[in-house]
Amino acid sequence: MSTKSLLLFLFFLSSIIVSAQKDFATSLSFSLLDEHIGLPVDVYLDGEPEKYHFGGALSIERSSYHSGFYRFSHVLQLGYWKHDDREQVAYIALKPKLAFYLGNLIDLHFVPGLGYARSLPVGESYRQENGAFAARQDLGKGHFMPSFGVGIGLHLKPITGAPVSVFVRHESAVLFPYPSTLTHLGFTIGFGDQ
Amino acid sequence: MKRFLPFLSLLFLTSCLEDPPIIPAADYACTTSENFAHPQEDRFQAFLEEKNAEGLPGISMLLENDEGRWAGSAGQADIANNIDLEICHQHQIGSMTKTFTAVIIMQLVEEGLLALNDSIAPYLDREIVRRVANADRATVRDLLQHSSGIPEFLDIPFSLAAAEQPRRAFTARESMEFIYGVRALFPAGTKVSYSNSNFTLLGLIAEQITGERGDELFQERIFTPLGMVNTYFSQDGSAAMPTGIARAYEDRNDNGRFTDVTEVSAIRTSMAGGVVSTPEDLFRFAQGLFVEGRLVSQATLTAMSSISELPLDDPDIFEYGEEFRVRRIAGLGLGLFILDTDRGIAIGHGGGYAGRRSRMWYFPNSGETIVYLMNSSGGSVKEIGRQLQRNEMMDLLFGI
Repeated sequence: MSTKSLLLFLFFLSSIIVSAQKDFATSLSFSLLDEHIGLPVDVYLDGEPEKYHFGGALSIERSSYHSGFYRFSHVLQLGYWKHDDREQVAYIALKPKLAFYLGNLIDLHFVPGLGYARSLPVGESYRQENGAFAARQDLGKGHFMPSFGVGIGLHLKPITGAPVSVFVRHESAVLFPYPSTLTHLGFTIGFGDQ
Repeated sequence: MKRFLPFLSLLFLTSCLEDPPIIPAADYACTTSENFAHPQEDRFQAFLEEKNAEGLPGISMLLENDEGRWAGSAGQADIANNIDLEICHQHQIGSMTKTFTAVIIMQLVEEGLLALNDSIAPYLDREIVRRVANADRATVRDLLQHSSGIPEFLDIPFSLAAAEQPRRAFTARESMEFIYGVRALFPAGTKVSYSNSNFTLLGLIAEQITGERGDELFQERIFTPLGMVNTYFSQDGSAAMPTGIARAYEDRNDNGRFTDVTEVSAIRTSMAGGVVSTPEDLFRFAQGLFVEGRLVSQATLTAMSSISELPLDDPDIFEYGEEFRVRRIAGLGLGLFILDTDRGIAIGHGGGYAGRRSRMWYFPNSGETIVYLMNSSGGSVKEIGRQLQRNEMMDLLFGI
């Protein structure tokens, strides 16, 4: 079984398991992200102005267990970013999330993940056909994408009554052979029992 | 099911494709200085077109053998704007730049401003000497023949930084920061291992001794004296590349699809790899250095093209095999490689750059010269380049 097939199988298996549970709450997250190639602590570009590589992510979270202190969620995430004029990446990832609550307002969450990413060049690609090079669609390259993120969430429900939280999360991911960091800034809207 | 992910990718990504730059055909207008007629020109031209048909976006070549001198090209300089590649179009030549830097250093040696056995430490910043392994004990000769043991800066951390900022040109000092604190490969002067760090440091040394920038040194000491009017080198990282340069194409995913990587800039200002030139100007350089003695004396050239007696750190990568006409890289001189071929030795240098491959070889026993530049790199190009270097250039120069 190829890596791609295995990941697809895991996504669907996970979705079935989560959906089959009786007590769960669903929420949707939207985040703006900034991606960088390099190690989480990059010492080589000191003094160079920061250049952002923007993207975004959409997540569906299904919480299968919630105590007063912590909550475990299955997260299915779709994301995209564009890295300068070098490449653009779309990914789909399964990210179990463990959040620890500090009172009603703040959570600290840890998000390991496994995903499948596809990177494509930003510009046109050229391929030789019938003796001449011409622009042709490039389907890019697939990557196995393990990741690990740590974030902080601020829950607004105790303040506003709306089931909304905002969060910031820093993730390290690998799109073999490149390590990347992703910084998410986003919000979550809850449905059902929150 | 297998079509699901590519479809999703297409949905997300194809709408984000950027249009290629529109470059007027007039920007690519250029001329050559001679006609390059040769009795075997049809065979040579057919060969280049065959390479283009095999998958090279473009290739330019200039050769001289006992029957005459010929230059030609095949393929395209700019696919998006449908510009045919011509012999007068410029390419980034990558590490062939090292031979230019070696010439500058050897000129300084001839002028008595430097000695091959001098320690490099007095000519470098204290910070570099303190933090780059072996910089306190290597000699000028060690740098020229790659026996310093100083680690290669073009390694994983540099690659990540270059991928993070693909348009950034790293200065020599910034490049050295990538090997601060990295262990030496071996004690200085005990083995030979090719490293871009050596020639980056030689550039700094030449600048320190003369008080001039590297681009001024190249211009005054090599480009102008040899009439290399289409050769360009700038250490201004923000300067635009010359217009009309052949675009560079990289098969990044090894699938025969090329992307334009002309703007990738990591070593664009480096004296280890930043020169832009044409086959005609590189031929002038080869003639000036190897034949006419216009750059260094015969004694200096002999020293440059003599193989270091030190053992190679990794000899296997220099072995091509007895089945090839170029059997092996016999060794390194001072800023030169020496090939062992079935027609005796060849001296010169090659170069690689994102979307570029270049070679310049001179056969001192019989006087042949070949220069070829390809505006592509990556998976599907590797084997074509390998056959060209190991067999086909010999067939072109000497017959099958």
